[in-house]
Amino acid sequence: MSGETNAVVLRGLKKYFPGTKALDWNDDDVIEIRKGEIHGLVGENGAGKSTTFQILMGIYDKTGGEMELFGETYNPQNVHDAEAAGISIVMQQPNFADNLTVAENVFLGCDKKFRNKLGLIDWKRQNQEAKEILDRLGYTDIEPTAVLGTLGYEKTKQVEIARALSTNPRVLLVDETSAAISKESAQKLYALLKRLKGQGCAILYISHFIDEVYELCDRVSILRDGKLIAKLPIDESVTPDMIVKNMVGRDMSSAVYRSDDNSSIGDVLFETKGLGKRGEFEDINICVRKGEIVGIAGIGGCGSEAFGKALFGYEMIDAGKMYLEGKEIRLRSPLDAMRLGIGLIPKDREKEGLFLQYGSVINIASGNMRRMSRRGIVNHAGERTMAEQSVKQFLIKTPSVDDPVADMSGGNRQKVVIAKWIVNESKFLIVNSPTRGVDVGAKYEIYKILEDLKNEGRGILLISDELPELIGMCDKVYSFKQGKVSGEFERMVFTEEKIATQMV
Amino acid sequence: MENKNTVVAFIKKNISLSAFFILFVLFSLTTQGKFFAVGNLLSVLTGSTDLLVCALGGTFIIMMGSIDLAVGSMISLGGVVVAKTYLATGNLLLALLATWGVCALCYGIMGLAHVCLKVPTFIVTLGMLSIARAVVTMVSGGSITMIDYDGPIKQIFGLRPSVLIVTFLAFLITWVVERYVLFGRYTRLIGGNENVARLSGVNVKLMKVMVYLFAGTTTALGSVIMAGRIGSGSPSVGSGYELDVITAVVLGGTAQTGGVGGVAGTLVGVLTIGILGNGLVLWGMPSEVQLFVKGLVVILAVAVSTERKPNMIVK
Repeated sequence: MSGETNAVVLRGLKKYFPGTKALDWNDDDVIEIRKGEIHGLVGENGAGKSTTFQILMGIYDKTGGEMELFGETYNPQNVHDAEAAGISIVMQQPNFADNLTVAENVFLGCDKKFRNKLGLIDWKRQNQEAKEILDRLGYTDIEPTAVLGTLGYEKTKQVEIARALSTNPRVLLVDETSAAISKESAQKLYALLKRLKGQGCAILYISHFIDEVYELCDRVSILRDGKLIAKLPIDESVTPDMIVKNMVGRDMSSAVYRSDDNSSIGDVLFETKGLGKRGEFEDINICVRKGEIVGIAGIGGCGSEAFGKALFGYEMIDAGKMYLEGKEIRLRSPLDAMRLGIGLIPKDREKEGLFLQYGSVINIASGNMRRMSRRGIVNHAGERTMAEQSVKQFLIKTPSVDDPVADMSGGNRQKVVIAKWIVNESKFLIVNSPTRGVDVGAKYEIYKILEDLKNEGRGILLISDELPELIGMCDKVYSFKQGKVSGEFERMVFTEEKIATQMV
Repeated sequence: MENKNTVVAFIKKNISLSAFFILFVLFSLTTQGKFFAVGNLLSVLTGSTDLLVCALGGTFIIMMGSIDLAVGSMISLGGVVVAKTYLATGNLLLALLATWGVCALCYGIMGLAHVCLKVPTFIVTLGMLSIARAVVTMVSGGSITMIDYDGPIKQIFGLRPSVLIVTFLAFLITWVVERYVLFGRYTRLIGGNENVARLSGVNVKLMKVMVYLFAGTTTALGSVIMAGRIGSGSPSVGSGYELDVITAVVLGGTAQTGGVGGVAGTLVGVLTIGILGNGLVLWGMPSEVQLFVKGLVVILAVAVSTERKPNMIVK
């Protein structure tokens, strides 16, 4: 392959941190990313995908190896070097200034461009240029003058994409973006990436979704534990199982969710009648039985997240009623909900589910302080034992139960959140996107946990925008559309197409 | 090499303790025995009692991610109340109760204003800083109320060994509360992440008011000790005191952002400030130099001990 068709060449990359080797390729391992190619980068959490991106962006200095950009040696010292060389990144969790406008965020760090003769910033021109970029990407409903913090998750993500493309990059790095957005926005993103590819842009794409890799990528490189394991073309010769097998290093059928056994289902556990909250959802009637997993399918902004929080007393309802085991309940706070045996595993694990600076002990105990104390005195030994049991039971990977969960991977963090709500014996669990940003291995472990909970007779409300997950796990699925229930499907009857048509 | 790293790591982790020992040794060696004498050390301890007691409540407030700027005005108000009530009634218990009542009321108001009106604690306590100072000036008419040397306030709260015992008990109780009582755990959780605490079933609003009431209680005790030590209830005492409290707490390793730290660290922080002031006096330094050095020490301590993360992409 001549240097001219390759946009980026990575050779023998190594990045060592004290105590761990985040990247440790063999010296002769090479990844070449061609111009006009979408190159997938997959691997479990901790495989070194993001570290690779950070080295490419000049955020980390590599310990060893070589990089070439369009045939020339490439050694960025910081993000500005990377951007000047034509590389841009869409991050998994963008660092935005929430208090600034969309336009200001798009051009964050390159405001100099908009200086007028007096040396002041020409806001009009900045807003105009931001508008042009947003329009070009099809994000016409985002106003450049809107304050970023007032936008929802989806739109924030779109602004992030706009920011990455504002520099007209020749190489685009995309870090697991579709995990956080709805199917609809993801489709828009795919179309956009394919267009960029047509224009000769080289795209390196981190994904957790095998389907997505097939839809989007031309080739895929697989990392595991910092090593480059395999490079595969995406064509008929490569099956999804081959990719998954290389990722996890063990055999795993990608079709296993749970058995169709329904014998666990019992009496009605939880019901809503005409539940509503202005601007979020209205007239919601759902029913969850004991030992049943009920799904709520909907794209971002359909009201399902607020609905889940309302059932936990974290959002106030203004119409309708809720019943737990036949009795009407009123929730004024999460505490009320917990006293009744309701638990919530929230969507935003880092902001709503975990105390990142604390270890597993405090995190798991935090939802169980009533049980972990007597007459107001904390039972230190008890909470430690509980955490140690959970770590064992849920296979949480951590050096010790006191190590901060901030140091854990996404999958292990999620397991800590789940442990917190399971040990407190909630009989009704609201679970929102439990496998968001979680690697394949941990995903199936989480599905197994949910199935076990079902078989114990607990009721589970699974809110998700991943249809295969809902179809694989649920006994019944409600589809949400613009704050209303648009359809109801029983297991054995539902298919992806049927539900999807009711979602969008 | 490995050895050196662990020493550095220990110093970074226990910056206050290290500073304390370094200063202790330094002053012991350079003051011809004036510093390292039982009498001197005891007087440093006694001189630190009011600050320690006030910083106990202050630690809880900062650990919760809030701040208390009113403590300086409040100890002045508390001191005047205890002195005046005792002068009027001659009843110690009544005087203590009145002081506690006034402090609890003011701190309760601050807590409620923060929780119900959703005003940041920085602003609420800044407001109370002015209000309490105004009230104490009105109540006292601008003049001090003397405390009888033979009376119980001076004898119990102003002289050692009794004041040391009272302070030690206050410290011990707070330490136990912080470590073993749900209240302490909830305070820490709120400081760790208020949202997550709420979603974990913590009654955040109630807890916040409770923490302020708790701080009101320690401030009441601190104000009685202060009045006992200086021998009067004074409307001018305690100006800038809130900064001493914050310095002691932060020097002791409690993160200003909340969630991390505790009263054990605060004890070391208070003692470090205590021997620093004492040592500088023994060196013959004027008070402005003490202030200067104190400011320098707190900035350096936080600079050295704070762990900085590189500007990384969080995954």
